[in-house]
Amino acid sequence: MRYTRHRMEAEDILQDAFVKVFDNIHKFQFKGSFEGWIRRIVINTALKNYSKKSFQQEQIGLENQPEYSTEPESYKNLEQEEMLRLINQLPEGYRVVFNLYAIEGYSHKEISDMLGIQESTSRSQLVKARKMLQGMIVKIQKIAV
Amino acid sequence: MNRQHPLDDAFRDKLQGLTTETPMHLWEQIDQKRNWKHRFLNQIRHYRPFATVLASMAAAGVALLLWNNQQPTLTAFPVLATPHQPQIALRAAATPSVTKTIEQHKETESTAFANTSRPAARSPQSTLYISDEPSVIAVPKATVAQSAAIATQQSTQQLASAVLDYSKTEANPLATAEQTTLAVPASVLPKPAHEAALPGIAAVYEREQKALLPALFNPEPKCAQFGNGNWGIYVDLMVSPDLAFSDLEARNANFEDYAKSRRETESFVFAYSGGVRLSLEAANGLAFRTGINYSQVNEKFTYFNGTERREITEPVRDNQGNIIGYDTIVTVGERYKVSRNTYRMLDIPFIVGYEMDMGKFGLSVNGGAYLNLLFRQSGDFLSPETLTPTPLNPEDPNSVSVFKRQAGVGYYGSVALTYATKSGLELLIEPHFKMFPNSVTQDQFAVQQRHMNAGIFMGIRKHL
Repeated sequence: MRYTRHRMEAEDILQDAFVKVFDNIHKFQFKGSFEGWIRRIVINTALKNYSKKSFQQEQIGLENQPEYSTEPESYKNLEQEEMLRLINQLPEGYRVVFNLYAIEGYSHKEISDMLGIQESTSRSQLVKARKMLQGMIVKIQKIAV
Repeated sequence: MNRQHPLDDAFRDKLQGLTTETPMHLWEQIDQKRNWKHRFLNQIRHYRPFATVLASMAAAGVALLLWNNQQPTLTAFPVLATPHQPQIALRAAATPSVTKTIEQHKETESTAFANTSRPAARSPQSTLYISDEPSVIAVPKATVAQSAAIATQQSTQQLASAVLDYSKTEANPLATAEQTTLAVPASVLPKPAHEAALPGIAAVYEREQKALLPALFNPEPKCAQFGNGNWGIYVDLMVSPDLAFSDLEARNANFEDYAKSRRETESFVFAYSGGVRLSLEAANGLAFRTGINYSQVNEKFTYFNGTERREITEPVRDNQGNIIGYDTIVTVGERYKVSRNTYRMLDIPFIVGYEMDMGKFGLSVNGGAYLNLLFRQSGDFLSPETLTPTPLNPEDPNSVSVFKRQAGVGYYGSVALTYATKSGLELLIEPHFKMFPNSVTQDQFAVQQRHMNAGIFMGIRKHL
């Protein structure tokens, strides 16, 4: 759900991914985590839907985002559904990089290999994703107050 | 795990383990999608190189089988009996033209029987010969015999008298000379009619029937040699020096510099290819070719590894050998890492050609597809991330997964010239080109890399 905007799209990706898992299960060599292997397949299937152009286009025109100062404590008050909604509001490139780096734990080098982009692009997308998320959180807090 | 930012930590803590219930219909859809057809195609994909080889071998086998089972036709390979052969040698397929010839001949035959007790000589207009031996016509097909029987019914009496003459001269040595021919009774009238009219013909009939079977399996030594029907099989053995062109194209503007760096660090050295090819050639010039082809491209990778400064200090001595001082020699040079890169390909060609025969020379135009079975590489190239040398070899633990294992399908075109030597071999020279339109790099890699070869095959062709 974190890689898609709609539940239907997520179901399609999951379906394709599991077909791949069953088709290639003989290639799993029991050297690592089976769950990690499946996770990788699902992520790669989800990433196939993204064009590399989206990463370049989103680099342009979003340089002058204002800095938001947020307290780390304010993040903890967010519910899971709210967090998902915020992530889904991010532009495509930001969302993918943020998911891969912040939640899945991939390094920028791994992300650049997976997406075919430069490491610097991955870094800048992450920074901008954080800024945007912080801005959205601040707005939510203002509304709540 | 990346834990540099509190925002990341907060999202990870709450979302990493987040699960939602998967609807049951999804599992049913997965099950439906993985039906027997999907599984079969998946197996084929998995064993594609082997399946391709097996399919090619099976196709070649079927082609060979069909070619061997082809029945030669008289219209393509007429058989002429020599005039001095002491038997009637009628060899004809049951075609309308031949049947007509037989019927025409029967009139001549009847006249001959009427005028003399010995059968007349062959009709000048026909390929049907009549020997000195009376009453025996050798034919391979019962249908021809029946046709002839109808034609000769009108001259039953004359024929009967000839057979009676034969029975009197049975000891004639000429009468036993036709043991190796395909023979059935010349008296092709219905058997009962003959038996009633002619007591001797039964013996003749019986004797010739016995001769029929051995004759079928032991063809006459002077029988014309039949060819291989309408198809010929050739095997080509050839090698070629090649020129190889590698096209490097950045996937997007971000990688233009990288693509440029790759072009600057990699240079072509030499390439070659070789293979064995089986050709099935039709009489009308159409040819189908397949086999196995190996090609290798060698490139040089040169990486500028910075400058290096070396200082050598040498003692300065006087005439007695005492050290009176030191000289420092400073050498500044450039350091390069040089590697030999190789790209190896194993392909199966599927080629259609058209052959033009020009006496001892033959010219053919060919075009088709090359199915790549294996694509392997070794050496070094620039890493897109660090722009430093990285191994190409996928087995190397330090290598990056960049290249595909197969290059897909490529185009092939050539013009071939052959020259037939006295030894039965043909010399072959074939300028050609081969191009793989798909990139050999992974879909998400920074640059697309395509290969194209051009060269001149030189080799031999043997007619099997």
